[in-house]
Amino acid sequence: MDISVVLNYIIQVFHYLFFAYGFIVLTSCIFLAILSTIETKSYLRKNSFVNYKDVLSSKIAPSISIIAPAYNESLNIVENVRSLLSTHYVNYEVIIVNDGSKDDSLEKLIKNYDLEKVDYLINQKLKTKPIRAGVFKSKNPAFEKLVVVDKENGGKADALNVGLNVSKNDYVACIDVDCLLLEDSLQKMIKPFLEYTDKRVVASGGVIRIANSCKIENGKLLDVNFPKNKLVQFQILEYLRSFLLGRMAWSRLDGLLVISGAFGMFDKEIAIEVGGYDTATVGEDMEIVVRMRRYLEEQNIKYKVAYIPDPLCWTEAPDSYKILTSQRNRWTRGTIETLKLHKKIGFNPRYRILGMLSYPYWLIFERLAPIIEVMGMLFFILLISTRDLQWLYVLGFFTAAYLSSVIYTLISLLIEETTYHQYKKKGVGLQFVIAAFLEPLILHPVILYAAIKGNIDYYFNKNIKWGVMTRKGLSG
Amino acid sequence: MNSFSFVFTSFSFNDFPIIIKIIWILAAIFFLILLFFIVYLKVLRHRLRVKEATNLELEKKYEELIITYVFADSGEGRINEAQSVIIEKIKPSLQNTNNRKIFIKSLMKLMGEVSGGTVNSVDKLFIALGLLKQARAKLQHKKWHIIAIGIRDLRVFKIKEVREEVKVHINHPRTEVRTQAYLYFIEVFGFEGLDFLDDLTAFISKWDQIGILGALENIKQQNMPDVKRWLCSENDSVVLLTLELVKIYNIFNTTKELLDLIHHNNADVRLKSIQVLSYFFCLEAVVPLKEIMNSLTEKEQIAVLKMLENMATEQDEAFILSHINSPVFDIKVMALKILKRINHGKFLAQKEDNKDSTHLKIIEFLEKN
Repeated sequence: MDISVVLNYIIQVFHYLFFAYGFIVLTSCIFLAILSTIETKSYLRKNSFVNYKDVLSSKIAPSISIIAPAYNESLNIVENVRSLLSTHYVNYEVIIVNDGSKDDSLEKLIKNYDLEKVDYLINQKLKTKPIRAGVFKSKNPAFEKLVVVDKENGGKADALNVGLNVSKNDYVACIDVDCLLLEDSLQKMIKPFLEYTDKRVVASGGVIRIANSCKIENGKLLDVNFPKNKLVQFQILEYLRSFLLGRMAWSRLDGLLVISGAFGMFDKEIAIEVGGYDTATVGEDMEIVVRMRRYLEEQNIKYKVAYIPDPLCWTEAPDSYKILTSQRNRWTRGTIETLKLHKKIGFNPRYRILGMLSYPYWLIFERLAPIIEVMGMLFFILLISTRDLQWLYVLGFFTAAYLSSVIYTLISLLIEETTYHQYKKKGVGLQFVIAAFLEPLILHPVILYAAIKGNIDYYFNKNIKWGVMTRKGLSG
Repeated sequence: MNSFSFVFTSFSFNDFPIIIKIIWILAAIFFLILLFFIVYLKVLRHRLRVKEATNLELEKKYEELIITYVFADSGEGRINEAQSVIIEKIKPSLQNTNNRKIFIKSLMKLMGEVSGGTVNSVDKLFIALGLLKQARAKLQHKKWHIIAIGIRDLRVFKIKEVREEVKVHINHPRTEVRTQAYLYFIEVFGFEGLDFLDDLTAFISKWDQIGILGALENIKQQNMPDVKRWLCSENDSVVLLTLELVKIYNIFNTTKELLDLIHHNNADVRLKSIQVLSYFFCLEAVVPLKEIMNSLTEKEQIAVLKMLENMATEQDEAFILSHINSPVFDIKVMALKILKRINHGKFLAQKEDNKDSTHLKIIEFLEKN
């Protein structure tokens, strides 16, 4: 057979494969948008009858442990802990796990919260790095809910596992210490665990919102502002899309694979039964959810991973390209590690939605997406160099693809406006629209670069772990 | 000829190849959708801002009218002329759904802040404005959330005469409707309203338990009905709720039923019964619980040992010693703790009997604390 015929045949196959991929991406976006709209409407309707006040004063409200690992957080640790201690829920404790910080985090906590070392019997259900200076509690009754554990450095997952060992409550809320929790966040997160009677709720995840430029005082969010920094603006759109469209739809399908590490609540018994957080991965937040789901499917236990779309947790987003690429690089590696570790569930009908829908979607549209995109670019270059292209078609194709991505972002904006309407100030709408048009052109290439670098680092640079995440702090 | 020169030689769209036509039609559709969304976003944001301001104004206006109405009450038990004027002023505006929502919200807000005669006055306003009729009609609606709104309104305004109509919904398939129905019975009829438990077949969630107990806490007249029948209910969730009532309201005359419940099929019921018996310091429970200890779940065994923490005597030593080497950490801790209290010598001897590091760590901790 003539080589040019073979080449032509290969090009045709690739052509149809890319077309099919693009078509499925577009269709799934439409499908997810519809599902998330239905789910959001249903959630808001259901919750319009809920009285969250009862749970605050109830004698039978379950106790919750907030576990917050901290590593070299000296700059903001005192304010961050104050914010965690000011939630309205009654039965809770805050466990700060100082993960071998090299700075003066522990000293600052001891000084500001009047801490003293106490004897604390820890049930070592999960293997962790040893305790360093010990367990501390406050002499001041005003801070009786605070427990500080100082341990040797072992990474975020290891610190969370120490928190799981130390906690004496049935439910644990694992959060990033620098996150700002709204006062009613715990009662909203605990609700799904208490309301389902036909299945066991094993985890609930909350929406993460970006707090850059917001007015925060004494650990409380006073005013929501839209930041001037374009990079942060783009990330706000990205988060809205991800949390209000993607995860909401997956929640409807009962196929959620990720609960953000910044704020998630777990049934401690199950979390420990599956072995706690995996210290060998950088995507421990996704990995534990997949492992819990896998375990429950294998045990034939009826379960649910719940999702709360209310804006409960506010965090600081990277405002420099360098930190952003480092963060996304880690997310990519975390996704690869988790999917590889649990490849058994992929396309396996035994795991129902998890195996037949969630896993394949994550594999094809999250894990492989950057690779396919780069292949698409190379294919395009190949076409330019070997074919006489229909440039009008090319232009039309790129225009349609670009416009569809902006539409998808606008749908998430419309959902945000009709539901939570957080950015109320005049003029923000226009800024939103401008950002929506610019985001695919500016942020997307950066994210793509970070994802490709994440792939390269995963396969060729095994020593890279978390990377540095420099924060400026939320309190203004 | 490449496509660019093709464009310049022919401007007719019809002459383009079909694939180009499709892609550009698609792009045009997307563009129009985008344009529509941008305009819609602009209008929506504007409307939301205006609506927020209007609603605030309306809320303020209604609150003022309601307060004037309440203060105009002469205490004669009927609506007077001044009040009638206010009613006529409010009535026409309530044709609008949004206004009605805001008005009911304002009324509810006031109901939460007032007591005594003022409550009756507000109730009368609710009826005079025809809102009772509307709430009642909502109970027959096909949509669950309309029914729930109807029951909620009847609950807040404490309308007693719809008891039977609400009772129909206590086993409604939607939990939100059921919750409103439970709360209606408690908030309107107090402890007497708990008799809805007799006919309840649906499962009460822990969240609903919290709601029910919270509503009961707000009731001043605590005339608790006989709860024994609910401790024998076939609905396990009714038993669980009743166990909470027994504990919170110290209903001591239920010991016999509680002792029966430690043999219940449902592990949650057994666990809760043990906890309540422990709370009541019920010595009669010790022997039967020790007898069935090995058949209990881990959580129940821990609850039994917690119970024995204060009740165990030297006679229980053999039983306690049999749990000292339990593989379950909490059981081990509890057993050693009890041993320390009932036989300190034997507790110290444990250091020599078992050299396991966890065992020694627990003993060391208990020695200090």
